[in-house]
Parts: sequence; C-alpha cells; structure tokens
Amino acid sequence: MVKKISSIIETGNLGKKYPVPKGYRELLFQPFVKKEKTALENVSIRVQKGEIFGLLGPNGSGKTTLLKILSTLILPTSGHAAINGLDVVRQEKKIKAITGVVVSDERSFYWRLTGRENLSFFATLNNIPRAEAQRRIQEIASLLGFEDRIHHRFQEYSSGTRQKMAIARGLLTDPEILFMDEPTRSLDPAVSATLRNFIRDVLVRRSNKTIFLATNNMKEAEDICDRFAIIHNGIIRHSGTILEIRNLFQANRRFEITVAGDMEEIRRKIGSSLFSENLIHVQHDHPFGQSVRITLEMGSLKQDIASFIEWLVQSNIKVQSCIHRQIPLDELFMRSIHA
Amino acid sequence: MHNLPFIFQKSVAFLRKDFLNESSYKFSFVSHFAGILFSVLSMFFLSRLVGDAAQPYLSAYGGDYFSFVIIGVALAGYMQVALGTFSGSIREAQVTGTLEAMVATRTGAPVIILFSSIYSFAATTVRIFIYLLFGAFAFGLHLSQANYAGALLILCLTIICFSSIGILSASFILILKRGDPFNWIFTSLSWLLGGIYYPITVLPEWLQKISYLFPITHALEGIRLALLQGYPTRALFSSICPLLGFGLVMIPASIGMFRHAIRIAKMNGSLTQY
Repeated sequence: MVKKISSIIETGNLGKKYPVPKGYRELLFQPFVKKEKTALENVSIRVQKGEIFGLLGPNGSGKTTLLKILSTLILPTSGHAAINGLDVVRQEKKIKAITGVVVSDERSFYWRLTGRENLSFFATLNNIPRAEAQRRIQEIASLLGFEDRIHHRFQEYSSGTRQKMAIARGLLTDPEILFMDEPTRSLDPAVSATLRNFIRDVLVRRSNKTIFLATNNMKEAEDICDRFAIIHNGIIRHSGTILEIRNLFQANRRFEITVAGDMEEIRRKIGSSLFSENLIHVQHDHPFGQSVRITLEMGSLKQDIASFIEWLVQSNIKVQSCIHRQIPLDELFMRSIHA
Repeated sequence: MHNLPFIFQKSVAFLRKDFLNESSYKFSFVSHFAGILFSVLSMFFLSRLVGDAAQPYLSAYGGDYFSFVIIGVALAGYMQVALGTFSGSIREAQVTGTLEAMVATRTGAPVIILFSSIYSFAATTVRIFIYLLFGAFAFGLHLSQANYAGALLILCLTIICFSSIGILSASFILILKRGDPFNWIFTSLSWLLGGIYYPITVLPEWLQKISYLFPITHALEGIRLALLQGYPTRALFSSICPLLGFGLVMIPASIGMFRHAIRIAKMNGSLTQY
C-alpha cells in the first residue's frame, strides 16, 4: 500500500536537547550528571509542496537547529520529522537526494579556490557527473548573475557573491526542497531584494521548488513567504499565513487619525475617555507641523472606529483624516513571542 | 553502496582540491621540497660520524648506516602522515567550516575521511621518491638488489595499519576537538621503539618484546630486508603477517569508530564547532 503524503515536510512533537559542556569542578565532582539545554520542544509543522515556508525567530530561538534536523545534519532527541515521507534519522541518504542546503556561513567554502573549483568539488561529492556538473555550474552562475566572476578566487568575492555561491551550491543537485538559513544575512537592501525575487520567481514560481527558509528578517518573511511559523525559545508560538496571524492578534483594526489641536490636550482627553485602552500613541504628524496623529487599535467588537470619530467630533476636535493601517510584521512578531 | 565511477571521480576531486589549495601557498609549497635536501644531507653526515662503529648491529641490513637510516626516516614519513593527516584534515575542516558542507552532500563520512588524506599521501610519496633518489645518486644508497614488489606490498600494508590509527585519532578530534591521547602515545612509542634511527637490537630485551607490538617495527624490518638485502617476498612473511592481521582488525574498527563519532557530533550539533 502506498502511503499518502499530505505534506512535503512534516514534524511531530520534535524535540532537541543539547549537552551543556561541563566545567572542571563539575567534571570532577559530578562526572555522570547529565546537563542539557532544550533547543526545540514539541515542534509540529507541516509544509506543502511548492510553498515558501518561513521560520521566523530571534537569534538562538532554534531556527537553525530545526533546519539542520530537517536537512539531516543534526539528530533529533525526540519526536519525528519526515521529508517527502522519508524519516530524517533512518533515511538520510534518500533525503539528501531530494534536498539542498543553503548555509550562510562563508567559512564553508575553500577561500583560495575559485568559485568554479569550489562548486565542481561539491558537485562531485553530490554524485553529479563532470560534464553535467560543468553545465549546471554555468547555468546556475548565469541565473544568479555571477558567471563573470566564477573564475575568481572565493576570497575575492563580495558578501553578495558569497551568498550567491551558497545558493548555487544548494541548487547544484536541482533539489525539490531547498533549506535556506538566513539567505540574505549581511547583504545590502538591493542585493537582498534581487535574491528574494530570485527565490520567489525563479525557484518557486518557475521551478516549483519548496523552500524552507529560516530568518529573523521580518520584511523578508512578509515579502516572500506563503506561510510561516514564529519560533521562540524552541517552541512554535504561532503558524499560518500572515493574514491568519494578523487575525489571531485582531491586528487588522489599527487606525491612524489625523486631527487639529493641541497634542497634550488631545492626549489627556483620550486618556480620560472610554477609548484610553485603545490608544497606542499620540504624536505630531510632522516635527514642525500643527496636526496631531492618533494611533489606536479597535480590538473590541463593542467599539468601532465610527464611535471614536463621533466622540472626537463631540469633543470639538477637528478630524482631518482617518486611515486603516496594517500592523507591521515585526510588531506582530514581538507580540507573538511575548504572548 | 557507492557508485564505483563516482568513487574514482571523488578521489580525484579531493586530490585536485587539496593540490590547488596547497600550491596556492607558493613559498610553503616550494620550501617543503627544498627541505628534503637538508634532511638527506644531515643523515649523510650523521652516517659519516657513526661510520663502521654501527656495523655489528647492522649486518642483517647490509652494514651501511646511511642506507639503514634513510629508509627508516622515509617510512617514518609515511607513519607521520598516516597518523596525522586524518585528524589534521578533520580539524582543518572544522575550523574552516567545510566539514558540515561536505557532510551535507551525498558522500558518506568514511569516504570523506579516507579521501581527505589522498593528497598528503601523494605528496609524501613524491617527497620520499625524491629523497631516495638523492640518496641513491648523491650519497651512495645501494638499491641494486632490492625486491621492489615486496617493499611495495609492505608499504601498502604499513599505510593501511597507520591509517587505521589515524582514523581513530580523527574520531577523537571530531568529538574532543583538540588533544588526541591515542595519536600522541602511539607516535612517541613508535619513534622510540620502532627502530627508525637504530636497530631494535640495541634496546634491552624486554623493550624489544614490546616493540613488536607496534606495526612500525615489522614494517621497517620488512622494508629494509626487501630493499637493502633483496629478500624474496616469501621470506618477508614474518613482517607481512603481523601487518596484515593488524590492518584486518583495525581498519573496520576505526571506520566504525569514525561513523560513531559522526553520529555523536550530529547528536551534539557540534560538526561546525572547534
């Protein structure tokens, strides 16, 4: 019987504990006591074929650990993880045949060898015949736009080209699934945007690859991820589409109202009104301007923006404009990890 | 199982990568070979000092100290490489960060560790060939009656034996990162007891018995008899058998140990740490 595969990447109650190195005193007096720290706890996620799934989290949250478990570079302590139905612990070789890994660590290349020599070496380790490897290297370098520098030594490359080399190495085997660890780290905004477009348009839309992307760059996640999970202290706090996460925090009800009047007086009036709990901040619209911008969130169904506007009018505050604003993802992210 | 054509392709890839890397350090690359001349000269003058005084101890090997010591030092070169190259390449790959990138490929850990040593062995072979060439043409090393086939067989077995210790050592490095106790003890005792600079007959009897526990003793004995006295291969069995036995036991054991060390490193998440 063929097992039906619903998700291309799936984890269930995945856990990872690392041993904590002991000091001399502990080695002497407690040599057999195990000290561990938890890196992942009951992580359950599902990634569908052909989507860009983002794993968002601050430094040390467990993103890289999860990515490395899925790419068979680290073994889990508990739970299970499967790639295309293949178990990450028992079917490492088969998983390596369908996945590619992009690590941002510049150290993972031979700096005194050229880009082509580096990629040729890793292509051979991936069982790609020589002629096929040369063709693919040329094709990928051209796709990523560094074919003119492929004969230069790796140490002469800029950060952007080094990052492109990492992506090129991950693409050598033309994998179905690509694991990417902070692919735009330390890149300038222009290069980051180019790479993000490449991931979305070329790798996913055109080549139908599945991307599992670990990042702490909110803009990156918002720009290219179809769905994402927020991880903090090794625990998945929330997951879903950006809309689902916004709804979770009732975050699609933020408003910016521009009014005329004295800022301190307006702040005092709102502070003593029914809307004091909804207020985010009151500030001048412009450093030298006369207008005041009120930002507030209407979280409760009993209140709506119309009643607030009505209250402003009744309080003799002249309303100039009212705009509905989306809460930025980085703010949602902060709420999620502190929830 | 690995696809055989890829195995050959991978061995060439490692050799090429390490050659390109090493030869990019031009001064170090050239000075490495220049050092051979100084080494041979030192041994020549040392042999002049020793002169005929060593002859009673060296009669089994033809009586010439220069020939005796140059072969001892040449084989010790292989020992040094075999014992150090595996742990050295693992350590370097940890520090440079390429270990994880290699482990992430479709090549198994045993192939990575074995092929990481190819360049060192090839470079040592070239170095020792030049070494012996110098010795033969400039300083009177006599190899006219040598049994090269027998010597080559012993050399291969010697490399296998030492490599097994080297791979064990690499397993320690993979987990402990630094400070491999096994290699240090093995190397020190091999230099002391193996008969590199002097025949083991100069040692007290009880130390001679201990010396036969080390493969270097059998290797040196066999290779000197093959090269300097031209012993036929059958007469070298007393050296070949212990080396063969040692290799048959230690190679699978060391590969198994290395696989286990990789598993521990993956469990600890320490492949990239050093």
